[in-house]
Amino acid sequence: MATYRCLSCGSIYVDPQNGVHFPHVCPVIEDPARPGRFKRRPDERDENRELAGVFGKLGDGPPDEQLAKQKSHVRKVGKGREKLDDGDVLTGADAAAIAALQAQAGVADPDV
Amino acid sequence: MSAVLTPDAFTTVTLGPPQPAATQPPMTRMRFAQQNIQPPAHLFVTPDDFLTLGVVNALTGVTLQVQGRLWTPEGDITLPGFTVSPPADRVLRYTSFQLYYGYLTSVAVWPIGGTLPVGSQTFCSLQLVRPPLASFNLDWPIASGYVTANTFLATPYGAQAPSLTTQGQLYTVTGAAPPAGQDWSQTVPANARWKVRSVLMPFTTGGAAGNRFLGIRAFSGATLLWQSNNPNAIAAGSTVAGLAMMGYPVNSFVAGNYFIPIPTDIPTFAGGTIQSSTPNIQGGDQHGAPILLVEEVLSS
Repeated sequence: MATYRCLSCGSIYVDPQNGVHFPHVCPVIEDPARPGRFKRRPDERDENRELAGVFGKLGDGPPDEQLAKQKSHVRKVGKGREKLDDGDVLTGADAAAIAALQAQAGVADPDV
Repeated sequence: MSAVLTPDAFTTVTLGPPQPAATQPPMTRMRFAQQNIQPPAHLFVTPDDFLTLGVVNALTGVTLQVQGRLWTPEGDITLPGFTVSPPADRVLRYTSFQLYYGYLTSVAVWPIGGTLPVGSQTFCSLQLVRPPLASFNLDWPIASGYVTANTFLATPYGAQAPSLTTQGQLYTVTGAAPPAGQDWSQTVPANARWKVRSVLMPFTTGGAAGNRFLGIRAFSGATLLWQSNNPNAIAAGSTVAGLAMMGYPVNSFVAGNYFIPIPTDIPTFAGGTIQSSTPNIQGGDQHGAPILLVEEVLSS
Protein backbone atom coordinates (compact mmCIF):
# COMPACT_ATOMS: atom_id res chain seq x y z
CA MET A 1 0.00 0.00 0.00
CA ALA A 2 1.40 3.38 -1.02
CA THR A 3 0.18 6.88 -1.79
CA TYR A 4 0.62 8.17 -5.33
CA ARG A 5 -0.01 11.29 -7.34
CA CYS A 6 -1.26 11.03 -10.91
CA LEU A 7 0.80 13.34 -13.10
CA SER A 8 -2.03 13.64 -15.62
CA CYS A 9 -4.87 14.86 -13.43
CA GLY A 10 -3.10 15.65 -10.15
CA SER A 11 -5.28 13.35 -8.04
CA ILE A 12 -3.74 11.69 -4.99
CA TYR A 13 -4.72 8.09 -4.37
CA VAL A 14 -3.85 4.96 -2.42
CA ASP A 15 -3.12 1.61 -4.05
CA PRO A 16 -3.56 -1.22 -3.33
CA GLN A 17 -6.02 -1.19 -0.45
CA ASN A 18 -6.17 -4.26 1.78
CA GLY A 19 -4.57 -6.34 -0.94
CA VAL A 20 -7.04 -5.26 -3.61
CA HIS A 21 -6.10 -3.11 -6.62
CA PHE A 22 -8.53 -0.28 -7.29
CA PRO A 23 -7.07 1.19 -10.48
CA HIS A 24 -6.87 4.94 -10.84
CA VAL A 25 -8.51 6.43 -13.90
CA CYS A 26 -8.47 10.18 -14.55
CA PRO A 27 -11.89 11.84 -14.31
CA VAL A 28 -13.78 12.88 -17.37
CA ILE A 29 -13.93 16.64 -17.86
CA GLU A 30 -16.51 19.00 -19.25
CA ASP A 31 -16.17 19.62 -22.94
CA PRO A 32 -15.78 23.39 -23.43
CA ALA A 33 -17.02 23.06 -26.99
CA ARG A 34 -20.24 21.38 -25.87
CA PRO A 35 -21.62 22.78 -22.61
CA GLY A 36 -23.09 20.10 -20.40
CA ARG A 37 -21.25 17.32 -22.23
CA PHE A 38 -18.16 15.53 -21.09
CA LYS A 39 -15.06 14.04 -22.65
CA ARG A 40 -11.97 12.09 -21.62
CA ARG A 41 -8.76 13.95 -20.92
CA PRO A 42 -6.35 13.81 -23.84
CA ASP A 43 -3.56 12.77 -21.44
CA GLU A 44 -5.78 10.34 -19.51
CA ARG A 45 -4.15 7.74 -17.28
CA ASP A 46 -6.02 4.45 -16.96
CA GLU A 47 -4.47 1.91 -14.59
CA ASN A 48 -6.85 -0.90 -15.48
CA ARG A 49 -4.94 -3.95 -16.64
CA GLU A 50 -5.21 -5.91 -19.82
CA LEU A 51 -3.29 -8.87 -21.14
CA ALA A 52 -0.18 -8.12 -23.15
CA GLY A 53 0.69 -11.70 -24.07
CA VAL A 54 -0.57 -15.25 -23.77
CA PHE A 55 1.18 -18.58 -23.70
CA GLY A 56 1.73 -20.29 -27.01
CA LYS A 57 0.20 -23.68 -26.50
CA LEU A 58 -1.61 -25.69 -23.90
CA GLY A 59 0.54 -27.01 -21.11
CA ASP A 60 3.45 -24.79 -22.07
CA GLY A 61 5.65 -24.95 -19.00
CA PRO A 62 4.85 -25.20 -15.30
CA PRO A 63 1.56 -23.58 -14.26
CA ASP A 64 3.09 -20.50 -12.63
CA GLU A 65 5.40 -20.10 -15.61
CA GLN A 66 2.35 -20.07 -17.86
CA LEU A 67 0.81 -17.32 -15.76
CA ALA A 68 4.04 -15.33 -15.81
CA LYS A 69 3.94 -15.33 -19.61
CA GLN A 70 0.50 -13.80 -19.52
CA LYS A 71 1.77 -10.33 -18.66
CA SER A 72 -0.61 -7.47 -18.09
CA HIS A 73 0.01 -3.76 -18.45
CA VAL A 74 -1.84 -0.56 -17.70
CA ARG A 75 -4.17 0.54 -20.44
CA LYS A 76 -3.05 4.15 -20.67
CA VAL A 77 0.11 5.46 -19.07
CA GLY A 78 -0.76 9.15 -19.45
CA LYS A 79 1.92 11.32 -17.89
CA GLY A 80 2.74 8.63 -15.34
CA ARG A 81 2.58 8.81 -11.58
CA GLU A 82 4.87 9.49 -8.66
CA LYS A 83 4.99 8.04 -5.17
CA LEU A 84 4.38 10.31 -2.20
CA ASP A 85 4.60 7.79 0.62
CA ASP A 86 5.06 4.07 1.19
CA GLY A 87 1.92 3.97 3.32
CA ASP A 88 -1.59 5.39 3.28
CA VAL A 89 -1.34 9.09 4.20
CA LEU A 90 -4.56 10.01 2.44
CA THR A 91 -7.38 8.28 4.28
CA GLY A 92 -8.80 10.72 6.81
CA ALA A 93 -6.60 13.62 5.69
CA ASP A 94 -8.22 17.05 6.04
CA ALA A 95 -7.99 19.86 3.50
CA ALA A 96 -4.76 21.24 4.98
CA ALA A 97 -3.10 17.82 4.92
CA ILE A 98 -4.20 17.28 1.31
CA ALA A 99 -2.83 20.69 0.38
CA ALA A 100 0.48 19.71 2.00
CA LEU A 101 0.49 16.45 0.01
CA GLN A 102 -0.17 18.35 -3.18
CA ALA A 103 2.83 20.56 -2.46
CA GLN A 104 5.07 17.60 -1.53
CA ALA A 105 7.67 16.45 -4.02
CA GLY A 106 7.22 12.88 -5.21
CA VAL A 107 9.49 10.07 -6.26
CA ALA A 108 9.16 8.86 -9.83
CA ASP A 109 7.48 5.48 -9.93
CA PRO A 110 7.73 3.01 -12.78
CA ASP A 111 4.50 2.18 -14.47
CA VAL A 112 2.79 -0.86 -13.14
CA MET B 1 -14.80 -74.89 2.77
CA SER B 2 -11.90 -72.60 3.44
CA ALA B 3 -12.18 -70.00 6.14
CA VAL B 4 -12.58 -66.40 5.14
CA LEU B 5 -11.12 -65.12 8.37
CA THR B 6 -8.09 -66.87 9.64
CA PRO B 7 -7.32 -67.23 13.35
CA ASP B 8 -4.49 -64.74 12.86
CA ALA B 9 -6.99 -62.07 11.83
CA PHE B 10 -9.00 -62.54 15.02
CA THR B 11 -5.95 -61.98 17.15
CA THR B 12 -5.43 -58.47 15.69
CA VAL B 13 -8.85 -57.20 16.75
CA THR B 14 -8.54 -54.58 19.49
CA LEU B 15 -11.06 -52.38 21.29
CA GLY B 16 -10.74 -48.63 21.62
CA PRO B 17 -9.60 -46.00 19.13
CA PRO B 18 -8.48 -47.31 15.78
CA GLN B 19 -4.77 -47.81 15.59
CA PRO B 20 -2.82 -46.68 12.53
CA ALA B 21 -1.23 -49.39 10.51
CA ALA B 22 2.48 -49.77 10.93
CA THR B 23 2.97 -49.22 7.22
CA GLN B 24 0.32 -47.78 4.96
CA PRO B 25 0.44 -48.21 1.22
CA PRO B 26 1.14 -44.93 -0.59
CA MET B 27 -1.98 -43.51 -2.20
CA THR B 28 -0.34 -43.34 -5.59
CA ARG B 29 0.28 -47.07 -5.64
CA MET B 30 -3.08 -48.26 -4.36
CA ARG B 31 -4.39 -50.99 -6.66
CA PHE B 32 -7.69 -52.61 -7.25
CA ALA B 33 -7.75 -56.36 -7.24
CA GLN B 34 -10.39 -56.60 -9.98
CA GLN B 35 -9.99 -55.78 -13.64
CA ASN B 36 -12.57 -55.11 -16.33
CA ILE B 37 -15.28 -53.67 -14.11
CA GLN B 38 -17.41 -50.61 -14.72
CA PRO B 39 -15.38 -47.52 -13.74
CA PRO B 40 -16.93 -44.93 -11.42
CA ALA B 41 -16.48 -42.21 -14.03
CA HIS B 42 -17.77 -41.87 -17.56
CA LEU B 43 -14.83 -39.91 -18.86
CA PHE B 44 -11.71 -41.63 -20.13
CA VAL B 45 -8.97 -39.09 -20.79
CA THR B 46 -5.71 -39.34 -22.68
CA PRO B 47 -2.52 -37.26 -22.96
CA ASP B 48 -4.39 -35.22 -25.57
CA ASP B 49 -6.62 -33.85 -22.82
CA PHE B 50 -5.70 -30.88 -20.67
CA LEU B 51 -7.17 -29.84 -17.37
CA THR B 52 -7.52 -26.07 -17.69
CA LEU B 53 -8.08 -23.60 -14.88
CA GLY B 54 -9.43 -20.15 -15.69
CA VAL B 55 -9.05 -17.52 -12.98
CA VAL B 56 -10.14 -13.94 -12.43
CA ASN B 57 -8.66 -12.76 -9.17
CA ALA B 58 -8.87 -9.48 -7.25
CA LEU B 59 -6.94 -10.33 -4.07
CA THR B 60 -3.16 -10.19 -3.78
CA GLY B 61 -1.46 -13.35 -2.50
CA VAL B 62 -4.04 -15.98 -3.44
CA THR B 63 -2.76 -19.47 -4.23
CA LEU B 64 -4.96 -22.13 -5.79
CA GLN B 65 -4.54 -25.87 -5.62
CA VAL B 66 -6.01 -27.99 -8.41
CA GLN B 67 -6.22 -31.70 -7.73
CA GLY B 68 -7.58 -34.51 -9.83
CA ARG B 69 -8.03 -38.21 -9.20
CA LEU B 70 -7.18 -40.44 -12.13
CA TRP B 71 -7.79 -44.17 -12.27
CA THR B 72 -5.33 -45.58 -14.76
CA PRO B 73 -5.87 -48.72 -16.88
CA GLU B 74 -3.30 -50.45 -14.71
CA GLY B 75 -5.56 -49.92 -11.72
CA ASP B 76 -3.49 -47.20 -10.09
CA ILE B 77 -5.11 -44.21 -8.45
CA THR B 78 -2.99 -41.19 -9.28
CA LEU B 79 -3.40 -37.61 -8.17
CA PRO B 80 -2.46 -35.21 -10.98
CA GLY B 81 -2.53 -31.62 -9.82
CA PHE B 82 -0.86 -28.25 -9.80
CA THR B 83 -0.64 -25.02 -7.86
CA VAL B 84 -0.92 -21.50 -9.28
CA SER B 85 -0.62 -18.01 -7.84
CA PRO B 86 -2.79 -15.78 -10.04
CA PRO B 87 -2.03 -12.05 -10.26
CA ALA B 88 -4.56 -9.77 -8.57
CA ASP B 89 -5.58 -7.66 -11.53
CA ARG B 90 -9.02 -9.07 -12.40
CA VAL B 91 -7.73 -10.28 -15.78
CA LEU B 92 -8.96 -13.67 -17.04
CA ARG B 93 -6.05 -16.10 -17.34
CA TYR B 94 -5.82 -19.79 -18.17
CA THR B 95 -3.41 -22.43 -16.94
CA SER B 96 -3.36 -25.94 -18.38
CA PHE B 97 -2.12 -29.26 -17.14
CA GLN B 98 -1.64 -32.31 -19.34
CA LEU B 99 -3.39 -35.49 -18.28
CA TYR B 100 -2.71 -39.07 -19.30
CA TYR B 101 -4.57 -42.31 -19.78
CA GLY B 102 -7.24 -43.06 -17.25
CA TYR B 103 -10.69 -42.38 -15.88
CA LEU B 104 -10.97 -38.93 -14.34
CA THR B 105 -13.03 -39.69 -11.26
CA SER B 106 -12.85 -36.29 -9.56
CA VAL B 107 -11.33 -32.82 -9.84
CA ALA B 108 -11.31 -29.97 -7.35
CA VAL B 109 -9.83 -26.48 -6.97
CA TRP B 110 -9.52 -24.64 -3.70
CA PRO B 111 -7.42 -21.83 -2.19
CA ILE B 112 -4.49 -22.70 0.05
CA GLY B 113 -1.98 -20.76 2.10
CA GLY B 114 -2.26 -17.74 4.32
CA THR B 115 -4.30 -15.49 2.03
CA LEU B 116 -7.74 -16.89 1.42
CA PRO B 117 -10.32 -15.10 -0.70
CA VAL B 118 -13.74 -14.37 0.70
CA GLY B 119 -17.02 -13.62 -1.02
CA SER B 120 -16.58 -12.76 -4.67
CA GLN B 121 -12.85 -12.12 -4.87
CA THR B 122 -11.61 -15.14 -6.87
CA PHE B 123 -13.65 -16.65 -9.69
CA CYS B 124 -12.51 -19.96 -11.21
CA SER B 125 -13.54 -22.28 -13.97
CA LEU B 126 -12.37 -25.83 -14.54
CA GLN B 127 -12.65 -27.50 -17.89
CA LEU B 128 -11.21 -30.29 -19.97
CA VAL B 129 -9.95 -29.08 -23.31
CA ARG B 130 -7.89 -30.19 -26.27
CA PRO B 131 -5.57 -28.08 -28.42
CA PRO B 132 -5.45 -25.76 -30.24
CA LEU B 133 -5.41 -22.97 -27.68
CA ALA B 134 -6.72 -20.39 -30.15
CA SER B 135 -10.15 -21.95 -29.77
CA PHE B 136 -10.48 -24.25 -26.80
CA ASN B 137 -11.82 -27.55 -28.00
CA LEU B 138 -14.02 -28.03 -25.00
CA ASP B 139 -14.44 -31.60 -23.82
CA TRP B 140 -16.14 -31.03 -20.55
CA PRO B 141 -17.04 -27.86 -18.63
CA ILE B 142 -16.41 -29.19 -15.14
CA ALA B 143 -17.40 -26.37 -12.82
CA SER B 144 -17.24 -22.62 -12.36
CA GLY B 145 -17.81 -20.30 -9.45
CA TYR B 146 -16.18 -18.35 -6.66
CA VAL B 147 -13.77 -20.12 -4.32
CA THR B 148 -13.22 -19.18 -0.71
CA ALA B 149 -11.64 -20.77 2.33
CA ASN B 150 -14.65 -23.03 2.64
CA THR B 151 -16.16 -23.02 -0.85
CA PHE B 152 -14.49 -25.25 -3.43
CA LEU B 153 -15.17 -26.13 -7.01
CA ALA B 154 -15.30 -29.83 -7.64
CA THR B 155 -16.76 -32.63 -9.64
CA PRO B 156 -18.67 -35.00 -9.47
CA TYR B 157 -21.69 -32.72 -9.17
CA GLY B 158 -19.81 -29.67 -10.39
CA ALA B 159 -22.07 -26.76 -11.24
CA GLN B 160 -21.71 -23.79 -13.55
CA ALA B 161 -22.25 -20.71 -11.40
CA PRO B 162 -22.19 -17.29 -13.10
CA SER B 163 -19.98 -14.61 -11.60
CA LEU B 164 -22.51 -11.77 -11.67
CA THR B 165 -25.54 -13.16 -9.91
CA THR B 166 -24.26 -13.40 -6.39
CA GLN B 167 -23.86 -11.34 -3.28
CA GLY B 168 -20.93 -9.04 -3.96
CA GLN B 169 -17.88 -8.60 -1.82
CA LEU B 170 -18.10 -5.39 0.23
CA TYR B 171 -15.15 -3.02 0.08
CA THR B 172 -14.48 0.28 1.74
CA VAL B 173 -12.60 2.21 -0.91
CA THR B 174 -10.68 5.41 -0.28
CA GLY B 175 -11.13 7.38 -3.47
CA ALA B 176 -8.70 9.86 -4.94
CA ALA B 177 -8.36 13.37 -3.55
CA PRO B 178 -8.45 15.80 -6.47
CA PRO B 179 -6.50 19.03 -6.79
CA ALA B 180 -8.18 22.10 -5.28
CA GLY B 181 -11.18 23.32 -7.20
CA GLN B 182 -11.89 20.00 -8.90
CA ASP B 183 -14.26 17.09 -8.41
CA TRP B 184 -13.11 13.64 -7.33
CA SER B 185 -13.69 10.59 -9.50
CA GLN B 186 -13.67 6.84 -8.91
CA THR B 187 -13.85 4.35 -11.78
CA VAL B 188 -15.17 0.81 -11.52
CA PRO B 189 -12.29 -1.59 -12.29
CA ALA B 190 -12.21 -3.53 -15.53
CA ASN B 191 -13.85 -6.97 -15.28
CA ALA B 192 -15.84 -5.91 -12.23
CA ARG B 193 -19.27 -4.55 -11.52
CA TRP B 194 -20.13 -2.34 -8.57
CA LYS B 195 -23.14 -1.30 -6.62
CA VAL B 196 -22.17 1.88 -4.80
CA ARG B 197 -23.98 1.58 -1.48
CA SER B 198 -22.84 4.81 0.14
CA VAL B 199 -20.31 7.63 -0.15
CA LEU B 200 -18.87 9.91 2.50
CA MET B 201 -17.30 12.94 0.86
CA PRO B 202 -15.51 15.59 2.96
CA PHE B 203 -15.56 19.05 1.42
CA THR B 204 -13.93 22.30 2.53
CA THR B 205 -14.72 25.61 0.91
CA GLY B 206 -12.23 28.43 0.55
CA GLY B 207 -12.76 32.12 1.07
CA ALA B 208 -14.28 32.93 -2.31
CA ALA B 209 -17.91 33.94 -2.13
CA GLY B 210 -20.56 31.76 -3.74
CA ASN B 211 -23.06 29.04 -3.00
CA ARG B 212 -21.75 25.55 -3.69
CA PHE B 213 -23.93 22.44 -3.91
CA LEU B 214 -22.77 18.90 -3.29
CA GLY B 215 -23.83 16.02 -5.47
CA ILE B 216 -22.93 12.71 -7.08
CA ARG B 217 -23.07 11.75 -10.71
CA ALA B 218 -22.37 8.58 -12.65
CA PHE B 219 -20.87 8.11 -16.09
CA SER B 220 -20.55 5.38 -18.62
CA GLY B 221 -17.34 6.44 -20.28
CA ALA B 222 -17.95 10.14 -20.89
CA THR B 223 -21.72 9.79 -21.01
CA LEU B 224 -23.59 11.11 -18.01
CA LEU B 225 -26.05 8.51 -16.70
CA TRP B 226 -27.54 10.15 -13.64
CA GLN B 227 -26.90 12.95 -11.20
CA SER B 228 -28.20 13.88 -7.77
CA ASN B 229 -27.50 17.02 -5.75
CA ASN B 230 -28.38 18.26 -2.30
CA PRO B 231 -30.48 21.44 -2.53
CA ASN B 232 -28.79 23.24 0.37
CA ALA B 233 -26.10 25.80 -0.42
CA ILE B 234 -22.65 25.70 1.12
CA ALA B 235 -21.08 29.08 1.76
CA ALA B 236 -17.45 30.14 1.83
CA GLY B 237 -15.27 29.04 4.72
CA SER B 238 -17.20 25.84 5.49
CA THR B 239 -16.04 22.35 6.37
CA VAL B 240 -18.82 19.89 5.60
CA ALA B 241 -19.46 16.31 4.51
CA GLY B 242 -21.68 14.95 1.79
CA LEU B 243 -23.42 11.69 2.68
CA ALA B 244 -24.68 9.77 -0.31
CA MET B 245 -26.97 6.81 0.21
CA MET B 246 -30.39 5.63 -0.83
CA GLY B 247 -33.19 7.93 0.31
CA TYR B 248 -34.60 11.24 -0.78
CA PRO B 249 -33.52 14.90 -0.64
CA VAL B 250 -34.29 16.72 2.58
CA ASN B 251 -34.08 20.40 3.36
CA SER B 252 -33.34 19.97 7.02
CA PHE B 253 -30.08 18.37 7.99
CA VAL B 254 -27.65 17.82 10.76
CA ALA B 255 -25.20 20.71 10.77
CA GLY B 256 -22.47 20.09 8.26
CA ASN B 257 -24.01 16.96 6.76
CA TYR B 258 -25.50 17.16 3.28
CA PHE B 259 -27.55 14.14 2.29
CA ILE B 260 -27.45 13.08 -1.34
CA PRO B 261 -29.85 10.37 -2.53
CA ILE B 262 -28.30 7.91 -4.97
CA PRO B 263 -29.66 4.76 -6.63
CA THR B 264 -27.67 2.27 -4.60
CA ASP B 265 -29.11 -0.79 -6.35
CA ILE B 266 -28.21 0.21 -9.90
CA PRO B 267 -25.08 -1.65 -10.95
CA THR B 268 -22.28 0.45 -12.32
CA PHE B 269 -20.44 -1.66 -14.83
CA ALA B 270 -16.75 -1.88 -15.58
CA GLY B 271 -15.36 1.42 -16.76
CA GLY B 272 -18.25 3.36 -15.27
CA THR B 273 -17.36 6.30 -13.10
CA ILE B 274 -18.76 7.73 -9.89
CA GLN B 275 -17.87 11.38 -9.55
CA SER B 276 -18.70 14.29 -7.30
CA SER B 277 -20.75 17.11 -8.76
CA THR B 278 -20.13 20.49 -7.21
CA PRO B 279 -21.87 23.35 -8.97
CA ASN B 280 -20.15 26.71 -8.33
CA ILE B 281 -17.00 25.07 -6.98
CA GLN B 282 -14.26 27.65 -6.52
CA GLY B 283 -10.54 27.38 -7.07
CA GLY B 284 -9.77 27.34 -3.37
CA ASP B 285 -12.30 24.63 -2.50
CA GLN B 286 -10.94 21.20 -1.63
CA HIS B 287 -12.64 17.83 -1.86
CA GLY B 288 -11.19 15.29 0.55
CA ALA B 289 -10.65 11.66 -0.33
CA PRO B 290 -14.16 10.15 -0.46
CA ILE B 291 -14.94 6.91 1.33
CA LEU B 292 -17.06 4.62 -0.82
CA LEU B 293 -18.84 1.51 0.37
CA VAL B 294 -19.10 -0.66 -2.72
CA GLU B 295 -20.31 -4.16 -3.46
CA GLU B 296 -18.21 -5.81 -6.15
CA VAL B 297 -18.76 -8.88 -8.28
CA LEU B 298 -16.31 -9.99 -10.90
CA SER B 299 -17.42 -9.97 -14.52
CA SER B 300 -16.14 -13.18 -16.04
